[in-house]
Order: sequence, then structure tokens, then C-alpha cells
Amino acid sequence: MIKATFNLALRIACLFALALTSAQLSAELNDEAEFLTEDDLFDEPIEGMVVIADPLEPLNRVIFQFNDVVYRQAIEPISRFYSDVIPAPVDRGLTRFFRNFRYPIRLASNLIQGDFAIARIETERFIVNSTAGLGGFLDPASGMAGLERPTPQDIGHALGAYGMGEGIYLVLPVFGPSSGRDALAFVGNRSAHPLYYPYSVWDDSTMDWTLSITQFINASPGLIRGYRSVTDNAIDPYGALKSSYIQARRADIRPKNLQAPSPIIRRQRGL
Amino acid sequence: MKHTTHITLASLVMCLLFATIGHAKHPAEEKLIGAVEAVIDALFDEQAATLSADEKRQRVRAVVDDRMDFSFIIRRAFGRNWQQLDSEQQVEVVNLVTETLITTYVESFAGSQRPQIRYGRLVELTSNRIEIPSTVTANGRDVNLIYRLGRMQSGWEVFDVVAEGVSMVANYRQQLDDHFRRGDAESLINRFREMAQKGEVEL
Repeated sequence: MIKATFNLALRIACLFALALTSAQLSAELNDEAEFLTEDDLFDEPIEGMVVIADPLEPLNRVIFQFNDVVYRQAIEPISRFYSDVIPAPVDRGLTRFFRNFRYPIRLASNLIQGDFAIARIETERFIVNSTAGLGGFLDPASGMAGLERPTPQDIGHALGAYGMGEGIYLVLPVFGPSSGRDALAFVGNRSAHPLYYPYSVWDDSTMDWTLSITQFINASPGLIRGYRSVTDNAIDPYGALKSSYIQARRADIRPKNLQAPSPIIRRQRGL
Repeated sequence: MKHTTHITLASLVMCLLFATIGHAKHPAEEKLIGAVEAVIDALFDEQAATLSADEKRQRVRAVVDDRMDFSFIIRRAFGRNWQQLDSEQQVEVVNLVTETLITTYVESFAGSQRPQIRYGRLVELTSNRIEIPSTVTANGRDVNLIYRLGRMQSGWEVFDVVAEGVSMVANYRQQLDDHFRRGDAESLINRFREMAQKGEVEL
């Protein structure tokens, strides 16, 4: 009886294995016809190509050249000095502190976008990192289940999510690449933060300047590294920076489906 | 005797089953991860600790020549502009750009600890196009990279790399389109030569 069962099991296993093997072989043979051709790969339109109006290109290029000198001759030495003087753990702590500090901007953006679940995560992260993380210098929240860091959002992302176009490409002195929409959002970002001008809770602007400058110096090594990685090996550094900036901004925007009825209309329709 | 035959047959069937079911990793994943690990080894293994930057670059170049082919990325970045180069210029461009990319790669890890690389789940876009997401962690910083691969006659080949949302091919295609509206192939090759020489000097 046992022997008969064993024989039967063996035969079934044989058939199963043969069927799997032949299915795999046949799939591989069918796949032969599915190679990408050179025409497919080299002549098709490229996903992510940046099309943005640049009517101010001559002026933008002049400001780009000015910024290039400022970045390489002034900011890069400062960032190198900062990296030499500040120990790496302190630098990372400061980076985390300023990331935590920008929470009101991320909260405002997520609320505007109606992403309440992400707004809740951002809020919980802020509470955990501001308390257990010693004011944000540490990031214990990232190690907690469900509190991993979401993609940071600002007011520009929120405007883009609702379909507002980028407008024209701009190069701002010192601040660098931007767009009409992001320049507008820059004002929105500062307005959303209670410790930044123009709606700062402090009476004078000294604290605002101190925070802004410290934050900029802390970010400068990363900014210079990013700038050089884009422009050093570019055929046209101006074009490379424009493409990289716009691609990166677009990648972080979470478009809303504006065709979907609003919650009020849905209720009215009994949906 | 019959018992031994059964056992042998059963073992063969088990082997066949494991060979069939256990073939879990996509061949493109195997090829990519193997190549990336070989490049990282060339930069960070024990032998590399005593090498100069230029010697490290040569080691990486040997790995790249053996296991990778940047010509797919380069040709996709050129698109139709590729036809504006003659065959000698095409070979030179592939060589110069490969050299520049390697130099940049070696430079970006100078003084760094061995990076940790985590690979995400492979995304099958079509039967002949896939994406492999990854996160590179070096010196406490994370960089998200997506490798785009296509199934060519020669096997699975990387045809684009997307770093933090920025496609390398889209970025270069934009610049090349602009260049060929104003300039010619010779001026472009001079620019690539400048870039390659500058990289060597900086190393």
C-alpha cells in the first residue's frame, strides 16, 4: 500500500516537473521574438524630457554664470571649511534638526493636498523627533514602524498637484534654478512657517536671519556636491541644471485627479 | 535494486523541481547586481586600499569593459543625433563618455566608506523592459537610483539610470538636442575630450 502510494506520488511529481520545465522552455522560446530593437530604444521619445518655457534665457544664463562664480568661489570654500570644522555626527544632527524644523511647511502642503494620512505621519514624526529625538537632532521616528520618512512636500508641490503649470523657467541670484510656480511657492513656504519672515512670531528679523544662514551653511556641502555632479560633466551646464531641477521637482509631485467629483458633489449625488 | 532505482528517480525529480522552481532571480537582476558588486569591490576591496585614484579608475574600467556596456545609454541619449557622427566619432564618443562616467564614479566615492546598496522589487514594465530600484547609502546619505534595462539581442542591458527622479538619458538628450541645433559633431567631441581630460587631472 505504502509502495503504491509512493509510486503514484513519484509519477505525479515527474509529470509536474516535466510540465514546469516544458512551460519554462516554451516561454523562453516565445520570448525570443520579444527583443528590443535599436529603433525601439534609440528613436522613441524619451520619458522625462523637460519642456518648459524659457523666454528669459539670455538673462537666466547671465545669472547662471554669476551664480556659478558665487558657488565655486564663495560657497564651496565655506562648505569645505564647515565640513572640516564640524564633526560628521554634529553635521548630521544639524541636518536632522533643520529637517524637523521645516515640519510646518510639509504639514501645510500635505493638508492643502488633502493627504491627511501623510500629514498625520509628519505630525507624529515631529512629536517623536522633537521629544525623544532631542529637538530633532536625532531621528528615532524613522526606526518606528509606520513612521518612515515620507517624500518631503512644499507649497510648490501642492500647487503642482492641483495642476498649476510651472510657468517660465527662472534662475534666481544665489538661490539658483526655479520656476514661476516655485518662486511663488517660496513666499508660500515662508508664510507657512511661524518662525520665518513675513509672519514670524519674533518681533525682529535677527533670529530669522540666524536660522536661515545656519541652515544654508549646514546644507551647503550637499548643495555644492549636487551642483557639481550636474554641471561638471555637462555639455551645457545651464541646460543640465535646468533639466535636472525640473525633472526632480516633477518626480515629487503627486497629481490629484481633478476630474473626480469633490466630496460635497459626491454626497449630493449619493455616491 | 528496485528500491534503489526509486530513490535515484526520486532524487532526479527533486533536482528537476528545485531547478525549475528555485530559478527565482531574474537574469537581468543577476547581471546588474553582479556587475555593480564587482565595481564596488574594485573600489573597496583590500587591494584597493593601497591604490591611487588613477589605479582604481583602471580597475573599474576593466570591470566595466568585462561586464557592462554603456553604449546603450549613450546611444539612447543621442537618439537621432547619433547619425550626425561618423563611425570613428561614434567609437570615440563611447570611449570618452565611458571614461568620464567612470572618473566621476570613482571621484564621488573618494574618501568614502564602502556604500551599502539595497535593491527593491523588480518592476516588469513589458516583457522586454524592466526597472530595478535601489538605494545607495554612503556616509549617512541615501541616494535612490532606478536602473532601466531592456532585453536586447545581446542580453539584458541598462539603457537609463534615474537618480532621485532625474533621468540621465533625458538630461543628456536635452543638452545634445540643443547642441546640434547650434553646433556640430566635432565641437561636441572636443567638449567630451575636455571633460575626460579634466576628470583625469582632478583624479
